Amino acid sequence: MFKKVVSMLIVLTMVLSLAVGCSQPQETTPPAETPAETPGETPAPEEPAAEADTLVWNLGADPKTFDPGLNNASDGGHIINNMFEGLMRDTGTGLEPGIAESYEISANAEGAEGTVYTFKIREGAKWSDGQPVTAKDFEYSWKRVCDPATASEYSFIMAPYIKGANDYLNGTGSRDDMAVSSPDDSTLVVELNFPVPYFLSLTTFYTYLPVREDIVTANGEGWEKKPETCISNGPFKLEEYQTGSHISLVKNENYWDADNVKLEKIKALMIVEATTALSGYENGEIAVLDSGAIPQDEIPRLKAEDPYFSIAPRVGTYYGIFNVDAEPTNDIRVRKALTLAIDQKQICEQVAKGGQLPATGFIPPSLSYSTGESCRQLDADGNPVEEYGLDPNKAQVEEAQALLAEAGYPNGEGFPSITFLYNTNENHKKIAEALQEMWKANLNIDVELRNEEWATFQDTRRLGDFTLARGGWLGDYDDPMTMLDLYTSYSGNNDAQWRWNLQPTVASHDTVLNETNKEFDEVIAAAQLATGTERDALLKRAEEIMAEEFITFNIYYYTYVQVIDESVVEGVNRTTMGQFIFKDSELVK
Amino acid sequence: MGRYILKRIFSSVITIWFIMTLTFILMKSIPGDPFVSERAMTPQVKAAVYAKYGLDKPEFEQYLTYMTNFLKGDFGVSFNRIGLTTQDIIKGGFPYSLKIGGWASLFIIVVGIFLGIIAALRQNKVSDRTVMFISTLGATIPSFVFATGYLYFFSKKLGWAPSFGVGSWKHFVGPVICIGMFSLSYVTRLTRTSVLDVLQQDYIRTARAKGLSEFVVIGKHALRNALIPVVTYIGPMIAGIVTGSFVIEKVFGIAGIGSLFTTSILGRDYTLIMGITVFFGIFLVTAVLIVDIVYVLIDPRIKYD
Repeated sequence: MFKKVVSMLIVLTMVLSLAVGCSQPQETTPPAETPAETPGETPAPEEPAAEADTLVWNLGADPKTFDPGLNNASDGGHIINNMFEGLMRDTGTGLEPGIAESYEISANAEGAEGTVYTFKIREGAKWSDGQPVTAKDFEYSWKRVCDPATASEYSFIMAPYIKGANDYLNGTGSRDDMAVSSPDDSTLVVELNFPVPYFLSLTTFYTYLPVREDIVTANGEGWEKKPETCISNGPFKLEEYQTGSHISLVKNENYWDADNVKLEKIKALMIVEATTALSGYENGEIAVLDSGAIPQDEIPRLKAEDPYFSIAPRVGTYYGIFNVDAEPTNDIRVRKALTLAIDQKQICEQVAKGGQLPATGFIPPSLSYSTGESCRQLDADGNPVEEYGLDPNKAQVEEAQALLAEAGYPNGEGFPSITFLYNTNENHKKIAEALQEMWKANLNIDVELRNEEWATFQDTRRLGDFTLARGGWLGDYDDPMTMLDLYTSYSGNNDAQWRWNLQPTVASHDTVLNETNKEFDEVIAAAQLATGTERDALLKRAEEIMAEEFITFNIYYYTYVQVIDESVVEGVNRTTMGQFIFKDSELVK
Repeated sequence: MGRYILKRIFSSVITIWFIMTLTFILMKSIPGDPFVSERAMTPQVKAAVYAKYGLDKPEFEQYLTYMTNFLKGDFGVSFNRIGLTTQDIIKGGFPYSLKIGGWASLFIIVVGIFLGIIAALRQNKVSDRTVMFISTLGATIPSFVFATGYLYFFSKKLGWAPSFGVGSWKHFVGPVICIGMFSLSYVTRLTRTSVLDVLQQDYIRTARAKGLSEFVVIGKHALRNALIPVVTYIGPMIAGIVTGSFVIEKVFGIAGIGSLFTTSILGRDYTLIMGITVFFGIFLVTAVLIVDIVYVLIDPRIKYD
């Protein structure tokens, strides 16, 4: 027995000394540095435990950028919306003056009403380093967006509206001819190409938010990622950015309305894995979670058990795209049959599960016309009702079967094998499978499913190399046009290949022409010049053309699912377009 | 020995150049580019963006530019994190991966070899059977299942461990165990097998016959030989572990470099793909070199001339 114990001890000592011994030669190469010694000494930045005055929120991703002029994604948008402020502010319930104290809308020299905006900059508006915010800052920032050298991916949300901007962007005009000017430090004048009823709402969008010329020119791209050079003009400023880990914001004492900002610090985490983020929330380590951080399968449980769980409408539509140039979806009867065979309500309730609304038309109910009336007809409970002959609550099987027979495929016989393309993602896969089942059960046709990862999928879809594909569009601004202008002939986003003319620069591959798209283009062009109810009627007509032609099969209107722990924080709002607003938030613990 | 090392370093450089070239070709041949987005860019904006990053040039020219800059120590800026260089991103995440990987490697080496030796010395006894059973579990349960289970029990149910991030030592227990599980099981089995093998050799019987103590027999004669296969495995294993694990870092919400392999490819972040591949390549090549040198130290029969 004694011998055994001794031999065990010997072995243990040997092994330990071996580990130390083995590690010595490795010390010469920094990469494989001694595991025995590194842990205690690694320069890994230690994160202090979340402090009591900090709001912890899961942003979910490391934003590509949060430079307002360069940003092209909603993750960066959340950060920008809390660090910067534009001429107007979107409070979620409407617009209120931001850096502009007031504005006037007038006619241009040719007498076109509603094309000249004159903004008066608020006195006392300051950057986080104490310098005043001037009209020149806006002039510089907007011209920077349309400067071809900036290569701003979101320039499309500004250049088409401001006079001379598109020419400047495309290299056919000069910077000085872009019609935004600052006659003095507190006056900004901008002339538009046509009356844009949503221009004020655009001024709240991140691409329109101001940046400082001296900072940007001196530091180049990436200025916004270093606290020393990240000068902002909103309620919060950057305290720390650690790539892949978190972004910390602190209250900006120089913000003009700093007295009403009660939150001292925000920590935005970049946890990608939804189950991890959710358990962080359930452990009380995170107070705010957004859609991406809530696993789909947990939604029913949270809905039933968690008082802080909520669902909010989102400006966007989840749909499928027909390639109108390809067999057999170039036949409108086939497109219509495939659409009618879908039970949107069942997909919402049994697959998507996040309180999504079954879709009829392309425009989501959260957008409205100039009268304030929602773009969708809704019943008393806010659910979409039948429109364009589409019942969102059930599949119209008989009608669908009849159409398919009329197209030459009675009971699905002889129907060619077609494929539904989606981008690799568990949730999209579930919806694709549900569609596959519905088409099989209701029309007796076989649809194969194919997935491609995001970057490849985008290319395939844009080039029209598909028959059926998944689509999803989240609006950029608060107007139906944000959805409709996808399907103009000159739009690079017209993945359905629905074009009436050749578009050599945007879509040189699309040579099969579709006459019906011509009226759509004309209606959109007319809507851009019209105002009020006249414009509403044109927008309605545009959507109607899409619906009559069955360009897309709409599945549901997006929602946000979110948990906001109100035992920790109150007053967390979202803008109309869904960006978090922490300006009015307050910790309650 | 010195000449041998020089020769090896030279061949390592060639290997890394080869890895880089191959990666470059493969990466450029995947469809899509770093700027694919839901919003189609107008041709003018697209051209401007391409020009900004030099993607408008012929691919061979891009390759030459990249290699020249690389030799100058400039690994390029990331396409998906504006304003950050590839070095910034690796520098930001590597400390976390190294810390977890370092502890995990130590854990694997110490515990794995110790358990392996015990199992071998007590072959077919209860302790051997137990160790082998546990190591079979460790090798077969996928690490994400293990990690999710760990979080469920220790974080959600018991509240002993934090659910994400890095900070105190408590944050590291889960990731270290989960990253180490598979290799730990492997090292245990490998040690056990090779110790058993060596114990049956004639020279061990001779050593025992000479009347040497068990300490000297096991420690001096058996272990040195038995550990050669283990060392062969451990070198590349450490390189693999300290460069991070995609699954573990994702589940535990750790901002290491493990996820960069995948995310850079999905985002077509060309410079980052190159940077991270070279980084890992250098690690692996160095680890293999070290293993070869360690052979000489533990086995006098091996000599390089």
